[in-house]
Amino acid sequence: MRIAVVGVGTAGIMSLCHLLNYAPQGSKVVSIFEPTIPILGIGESSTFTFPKLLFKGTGFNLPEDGAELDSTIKLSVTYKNWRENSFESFIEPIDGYAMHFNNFRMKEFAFDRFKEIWGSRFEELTGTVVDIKNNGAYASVYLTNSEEKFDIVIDCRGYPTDYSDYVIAEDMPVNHCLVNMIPEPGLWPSTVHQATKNGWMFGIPLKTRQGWGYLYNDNITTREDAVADIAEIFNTTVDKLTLREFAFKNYYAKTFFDGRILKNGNRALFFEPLEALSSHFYELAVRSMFDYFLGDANMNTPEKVNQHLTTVAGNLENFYHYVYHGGSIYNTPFWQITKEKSSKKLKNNKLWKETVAEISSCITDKGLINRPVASWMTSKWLDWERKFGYSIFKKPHPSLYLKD
Amino acid sequence: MKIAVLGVGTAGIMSLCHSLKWLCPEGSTITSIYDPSVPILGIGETSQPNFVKTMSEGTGFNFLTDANELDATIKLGASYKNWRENNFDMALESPSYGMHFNNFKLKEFCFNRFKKLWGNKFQTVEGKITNLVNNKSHVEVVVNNRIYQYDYIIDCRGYPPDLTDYTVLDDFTVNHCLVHIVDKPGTWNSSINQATAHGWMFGIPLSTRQGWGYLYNDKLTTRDEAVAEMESLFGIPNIKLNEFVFKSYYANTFFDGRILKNGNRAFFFEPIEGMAGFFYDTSLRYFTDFLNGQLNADVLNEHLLKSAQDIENFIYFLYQGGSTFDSKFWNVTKEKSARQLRNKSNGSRWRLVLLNIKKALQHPELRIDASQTGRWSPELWIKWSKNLGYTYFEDKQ
Repeated sequence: MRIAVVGVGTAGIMSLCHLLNYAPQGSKVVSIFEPTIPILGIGESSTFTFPKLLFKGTGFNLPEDGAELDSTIKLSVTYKNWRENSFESFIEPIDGYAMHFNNFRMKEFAFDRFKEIWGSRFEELTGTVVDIKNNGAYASVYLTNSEEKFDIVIDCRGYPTDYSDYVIAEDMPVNHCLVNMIPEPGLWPSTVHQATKNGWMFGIPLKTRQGWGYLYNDNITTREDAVADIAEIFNTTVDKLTLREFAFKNYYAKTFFDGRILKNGNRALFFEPLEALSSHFYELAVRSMFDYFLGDANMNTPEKVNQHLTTVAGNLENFYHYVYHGGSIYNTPFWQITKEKSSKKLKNNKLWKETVAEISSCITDKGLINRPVASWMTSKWLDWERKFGYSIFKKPHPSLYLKD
Repeated sequence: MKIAVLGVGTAGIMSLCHSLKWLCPEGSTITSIYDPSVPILGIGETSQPNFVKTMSEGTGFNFLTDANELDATIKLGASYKNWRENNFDMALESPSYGMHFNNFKLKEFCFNRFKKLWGNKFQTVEGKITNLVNNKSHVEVVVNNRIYQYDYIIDCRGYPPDLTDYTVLDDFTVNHCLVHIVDKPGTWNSSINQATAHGWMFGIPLSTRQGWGYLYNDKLTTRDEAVAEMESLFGIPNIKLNEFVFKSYYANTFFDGRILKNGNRAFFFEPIEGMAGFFYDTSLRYFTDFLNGQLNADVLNEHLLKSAQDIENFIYFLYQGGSTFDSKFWNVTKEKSARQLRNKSNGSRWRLVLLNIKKALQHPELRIDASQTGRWSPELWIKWSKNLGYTYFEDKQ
C-alpha cells in the first residue's frame, strides 16, 4: 500500500505516526510538504492521544525527549473563573498524561526519528502541491511538475481555501485569538483555561516560555477592549504587549473521506482550542479510514466513515456548548449572549438529546456503566456535570461521585 | 458477597481499592482485617502506572490534588547508572506515569477515603489473626479468638512464616538490602537504579526525603564490604542504615479454594523496576475474572504462575549482561542469569514471550496483550534490548 500524508503540522505528524506504526507490512508512507509554507503553530496543548501516537511513531517519551520539544507534562486542565471555585479536569486515563510542546520543533524531531526507526518505509517528497484528486483506482497528488499516485492520501494542508464544502458552525462562541508569549518557563503541570470578561484565555507552560491565548468574539468585543483586558490581566500597559493575532472560523467538512482521500487536521475541521479536542478527532479520522481499508463491518463504505466522523464533529461542537451554556463568573454581553446561544443550540439538537439519553442510561442503581459516549467516558461526563454544577443527566447515586 | 483483605501494606491497600471498586455491588462488603501492632514492611515506595490507577479507582486519588498527603513525586521512568558505559533512562510505557510515595502514610490516607466514598461497604476488623480455615462454602478467619466468616479472602499478610508451599529461588540475584534515608526532598522524576560493585542501589525521591537502598547478595559479599561501599558512595563514615534480609520465592498455589494470596504472601522478588505492583494488579484482575465465572481456579493459578515467571525472567534478562563492574558479584550473577533463561522451566516461558514480542512487532494490528509479552510492550522491549546492548530484536533496534 502506498500512502501519502500532505502537510507537516500537528495533524500531518500524527497521521504519519499512525500509518508508520499500523499500515500493513510492505507499505510505503510518504510525507509530502512544501518547506516554504510555515505551519500555523498555535496548538501546543494536547490530549493523551498525542503523546501516545508520538510514542508509537517516534518512540517519544517525556523524560528522555521532552527537552527537544520544550515539552512539559499535562495532568489536567485548570478551569479558573468559570465557577466561583477553580477546578481541575483531569486527563483520562488517570495514570496517563498529555503534554504541552513547541510545535515549531515537532517536524524536525519527528522526521529524524521516522528515518531512524522506519527506514525505507518512510519517504519524503518536497514540492508545491497543486491539487489532490480521487481517480477511482488510485488518488493523485499533483505537484508543480509531476503526478504522484497513491492508494490513500491524507490531506492535512490546513485551513481550506474556500468553505463551500464545509458546514460553518456559526454559533460557536469565540472566533479571534490574541497570543501573548512570556519568555519565562512555565512550571505548572496543566493547561490553564481562565474565563475572562470577553471569553476565555489559555495558558500553556513550556520549558522555555509560556503561551497565553486570549479568545474572544469579534462580533461582540472590539480588539481594543480585548487588548485592554489582556493588559489588565497581566498587570501591564497596552503598549508593552506584543501579540500574535489569529482570526478563525469554526467549521467542519461536509465530506471527510471519499474512498481514497481523507481530510484531516484543519482541512477537516476547526473548532476553538478548549480542551485541545482536535487531536482526538485527528486520531479517530485516521483510525476510521484504516478500518475502512481493513474491511471492518462498521466502516466498510466511505459513507459509514463520513457518518461516523460527522457524528464525532457534532459531538465536539455540542461539548463546547455544554461547557459554555452555564456561563462564567462574569455577567457581560459576551457571556449573556453565549449562554443563551449555547443553551438554545443544545435544546434543539437531536444528537445532544441522544448523548444525554445514552449517558443517563449508563447511570444505574447498581452503579455507573463506564464507557465512552460522545468523546468522553461516562465517568468523565459525571465529573463535568458536578464541577460545572449542571443537572442534565439522570441524577446518580451519591456514591458515584468519587470525591467532594 | 463478603470479601476480607488481610493486611494493610501496599498489596493490601491495592486489594482493598480494587475490591471496593469492582467486587462490591450493593449489599456486599469489603472488610480490612489487620493487626495495628504489626508494622508494615514499608520498603517498596516506587510504583508502576497501575498503582496510580488502582488508587484512583478506590480512593479517588489524583496526583495533582493528593500527592502531598503521600509525600508523592511523579515517576516517569527509571535511570540506570553504571549498568553500561553510558547511563540510560527507561521511560514507562508512554504516556503513563507511576509515582513514588511514602507507604507509611498510605493506610491512613486510603482508610479516610474508603470511609468517605464507600460508607458501610467498607468495614474493618482490628486484631491478631490466629487462624484461617478454608471451607467449601466460606472461609473462617479467627481474630482475637472470634470467628468471622467470608466468601473469599485476599491474604496480604506479608512474608510467609514458612516456605514449605513455596518455590524458593535460592540462587537468585540479591538477598540483602541496606536502606539509608536522606532528609532532603528528592527532586528527580525517576527511580534511580545504580549498579554497584556488589549489586545495585535504588534511589527514590519523595517530596520530603530520599530513600536509598543498597542491594547485595550476602553469599557473595560480606556486610562489611557492602557498608564500606555505601559509605564511600555517600561520603559518610558510620552511615545510618536499616537492614532487610529477604528470600526470593513464589507460592506453588496462589489461589486455593477461597483464599487468594497477594503481595509478599504470594511472591517476593527483588525490587528492581517495582515489578511487584504488576503482579498485585494482575492477580486482582484474574481473581475478578474468576468471580465472574470467566476462568476456573486452575487457569487462574496458571496465569499467576506465568506472571511471576515473567517477572523473574525479566530480572534475569537485566542481569545477564552484567554491569560496568568486573567483580565477583557480577561475574557470578551474569552467568547464573543467562543460564536461568536457558533452563527448562524458565527458558520455555522466556522463548514463548520472545516469540510473542516478535509476532506483536510484525503484526501491530493484532494488538497482542501485555500478558503475553512479559508485561512490557514490544516497543519497550526493543528499547531495553538496545540500551542493554543485546541483540534480541536487532532488526528492529
